[in-house]
Amino acid sequence: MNSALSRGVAPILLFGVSFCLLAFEITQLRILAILQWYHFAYLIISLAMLGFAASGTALSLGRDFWFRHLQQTAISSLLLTALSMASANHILALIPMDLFITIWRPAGLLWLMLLCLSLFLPLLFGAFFIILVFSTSPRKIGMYYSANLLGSGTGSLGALAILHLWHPLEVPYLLALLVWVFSLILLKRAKAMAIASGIVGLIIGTCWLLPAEVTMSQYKPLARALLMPDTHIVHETYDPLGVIHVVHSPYLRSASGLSLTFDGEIPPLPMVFRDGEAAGSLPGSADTHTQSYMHSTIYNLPYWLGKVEQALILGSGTGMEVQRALAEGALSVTAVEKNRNLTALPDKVLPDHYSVYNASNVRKIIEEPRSFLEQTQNHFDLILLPAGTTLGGASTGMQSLYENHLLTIEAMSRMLDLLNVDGMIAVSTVIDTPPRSPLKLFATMAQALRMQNMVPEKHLVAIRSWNMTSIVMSNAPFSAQKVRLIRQFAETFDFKLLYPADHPESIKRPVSGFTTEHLPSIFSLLAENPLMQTGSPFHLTPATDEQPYFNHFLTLDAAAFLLRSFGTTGLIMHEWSYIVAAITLLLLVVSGFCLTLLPLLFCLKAGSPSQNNLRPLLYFSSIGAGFMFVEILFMQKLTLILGDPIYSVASVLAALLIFAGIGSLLSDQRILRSSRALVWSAALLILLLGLFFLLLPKLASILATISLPWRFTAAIMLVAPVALIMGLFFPTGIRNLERTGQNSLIPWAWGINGFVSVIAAPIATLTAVSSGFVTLGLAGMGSYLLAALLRPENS
Amino acid sequence: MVSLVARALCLVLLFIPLFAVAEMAQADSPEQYKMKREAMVHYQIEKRGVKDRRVLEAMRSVPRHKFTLESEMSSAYEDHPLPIGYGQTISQPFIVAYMCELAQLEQTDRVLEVGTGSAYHAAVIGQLVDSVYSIEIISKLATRAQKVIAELGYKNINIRHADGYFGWEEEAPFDAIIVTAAADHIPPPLIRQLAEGGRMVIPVGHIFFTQKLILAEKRNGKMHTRDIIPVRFVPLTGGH
Repeated sequence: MNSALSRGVAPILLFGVSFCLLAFEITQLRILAILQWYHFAYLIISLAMLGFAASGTALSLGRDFWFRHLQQTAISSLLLTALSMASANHILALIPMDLFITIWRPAGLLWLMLLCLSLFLPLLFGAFFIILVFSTSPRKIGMYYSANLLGSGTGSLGALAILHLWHPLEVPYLLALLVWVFSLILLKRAKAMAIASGIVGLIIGTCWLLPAEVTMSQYKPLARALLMPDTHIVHETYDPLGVIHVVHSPYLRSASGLSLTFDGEIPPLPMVFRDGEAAGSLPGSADTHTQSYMHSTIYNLPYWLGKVEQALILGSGTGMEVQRALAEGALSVTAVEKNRNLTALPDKVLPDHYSVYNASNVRKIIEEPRSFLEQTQNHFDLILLPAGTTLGGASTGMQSLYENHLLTIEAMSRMLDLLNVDGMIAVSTVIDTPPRSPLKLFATMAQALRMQNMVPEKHLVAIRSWNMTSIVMSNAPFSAQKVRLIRQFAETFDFKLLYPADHPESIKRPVSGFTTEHLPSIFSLLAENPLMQTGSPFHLTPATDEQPYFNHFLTLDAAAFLLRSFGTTGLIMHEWSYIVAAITLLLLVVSGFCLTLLPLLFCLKAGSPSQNNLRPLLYFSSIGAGFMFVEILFMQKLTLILGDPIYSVASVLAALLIFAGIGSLLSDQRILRSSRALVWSAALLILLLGLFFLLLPKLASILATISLPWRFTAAIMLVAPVALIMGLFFPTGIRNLERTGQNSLIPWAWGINGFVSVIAAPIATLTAVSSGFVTLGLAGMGSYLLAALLRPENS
Repeated sequence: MVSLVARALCLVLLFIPLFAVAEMAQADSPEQYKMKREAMVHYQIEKRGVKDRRVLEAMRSVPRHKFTLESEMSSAYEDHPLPIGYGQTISQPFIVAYMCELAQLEQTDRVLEVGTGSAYHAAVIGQLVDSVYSIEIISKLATRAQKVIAELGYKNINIRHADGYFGWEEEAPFDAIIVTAAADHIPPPLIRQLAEGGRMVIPVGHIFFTQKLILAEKRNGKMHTRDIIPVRFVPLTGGH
């Protein structure tokens, strides 16, 4: 095999296998998000990522054996990768998808282990092949590492392209086939391996032809809806953003925010599901019967206050709010929605109906709402934020760790700039338990007003229904007549006025103000001082562009309160994201210890590697953590420029891996080989990251005005120089191990680097949420500084 | 030391399947179920503040394990909801008792339940009032519930396979309506079918965790709602 590799096949194989592994990982994340829940998928994939770290350990444990049978080992690892990829769906089909309720029982734990194993094995075998090739020729590490990174980078972009063309459940078979083809390249005078290859090829083909029947959890809303009689899927579409289903049923009715005074009929409408989760309904026909209930919902408040001529609907989705605006007499509606598939649904599913998006006075913009706000110069009478459950309620706990650039003080300020003189901003949210979203929303709006030198008390109103709150912020102070209209609206539909309070003299600071009864008093306090402590144990400080985590509510006090009031289950259900992140971190540390550090201790006992290996291992730990901190930082900061996290993840991953690959290729250059070069590299890296922080706000507003492909290019160019420098550190470290006769430490370097990278991902996310991007950036800079201090000295 | 840790880890991994098998094979005698029921009422319900003697008695008398899936029987009296298939659950015992108490049920009341599920909740209500009308939209669940109710000899519980959204018009008005399947709005037909002075109880939250209950009362033809947060989700004294 060495001869085959020396012919230059190794970099091609490394590129191909890395491509397949990354694409497999992204596809599995999509599959698990559809079958179960996104956060669960995140946990499992993070665990499976340990396959990379564990491969280094596996190689070290039998190093002599593997190298004695190099050809067979390489081919076998590729065949096992292919086989485990092809069988992943079949294992998924065996596992009950209700793991999140049974996970605490032994049987549930058993299924979870099987699920992790099905994802872990392809990554373990694939990464084993990569590290095996690395170890065959450390002198070529620069080229090999760059092939590995280029493959991974291309794989992250390739996965997006593949998911456009194939259903996620088909992709593992395709990737298995590709890896199997790679294994054939190494077949040379190896009869036994040729037979094995043939058998594996046959199995992959059979698996693809007879795919497993994988079913989603029965507790996902789509699965539950389909259990109703006469209910069926009428349309399915998929892209990297998700799988969308439209379901028709005579039993599915939705009327969120409906007044209890409404006595009419709610018509059943086709319901939309994204990745099995409810995503609203399609607008019905424009007849009076269908629309009658819409006038009796809490969302109608802004239309009740006066004529809305120019409306801006942010996150317009399937067009329900566009239909309402038109029905309420808006002359012109600008509908902004980032998901093209959602806006196309009315035409595809209800061709006989009149799609609101086709109306002559509706301007459809496919764009991320915040990006649109930065670009537009138009002014509006009403700006409507995405409605209902997307902001609060049950989803709150699920979204805690996701950035939302629309619900920040800066975004609200920008919206105020775009209002006509009498213009309004309106938003409705589910009243969560204990109430958090309405309070933070109110505080954010009040703070945005204060920053514009406006008095919140004169510009804010809030009402509530039995389960929702609507908050309206006006550019001009609310006149007495408008306040009368608001009271009239509340009385007519039996809603309650929360702010301004009916009896302001009775407002007192609540002792433990976190029940719905306290909403009027807390709103009054927040209007006076949006940043004050209200008595709630939750984090209610308004989100900013620096910490754009609107759904970040958890504090230590809040956790103690939830635990005390609702028990462990309550804490988990309220703050699912944090719990998953914490469990992920814990499991990663434990399993990482078992898979990498424990075997390392075995070897140390046997005296295999040198006792002086702490410094190089710390070096590889530092660059592992640093790389991940910078990666997460770029992904989250660039979302503001690129709009959607999926674009920022794809562009940052691609740029980081490709340019780090080029960096590692350049590390072979004489001028970059010296250890002093690493010091200069770290200094330059810190300088570049500092500049990035200083210039990003300006850059974001400039780049917001250009088209998405150019923004994509700009984002890649921003990441490129940093990635190029980061790519120097790993191969330089490896080369030094070889130079100093510490070859046996190479798998450890790989393992430690992989392990720290994997656990650094949740740490980076939690750091960004709790302390902001600046802290995360400083952590990244600090890691590389430490690496420079621990740099391998030239011998 | 290291090999000891590794051996211990291997042992734990080996024991997980054994625990799983043992868990599946476990079955209790009727006396044991009765003891578990007593403990459930005492620790999970009474100690969390449910005081209505009739409700407590009803919870003591209904054999919850008869309403669960066979695989879940051993967990029937544990302090959490249980899966019953078809994407549905049997509610946490405390929530069942608390909803009954909130509905302030009188012996002569006519009660409508929307979402029969396992029929456990209907059976508890059946102990408290003269007539219960329960609607289930999933036919297989409705059939299973009818069978269990018949086997256990409940005569005052009527189960129908229909769309609960429209209530049970022929038997309206109802003194109380208990909605176990939450929607994003309260169906107008249910409001119409609630008698003057009647109470409606609706759970809000995740299917496996009730965050709060909405108590709606009809007074002078108007609905008045109140959020009820059962803060005592955790037993006041430990252990159960």
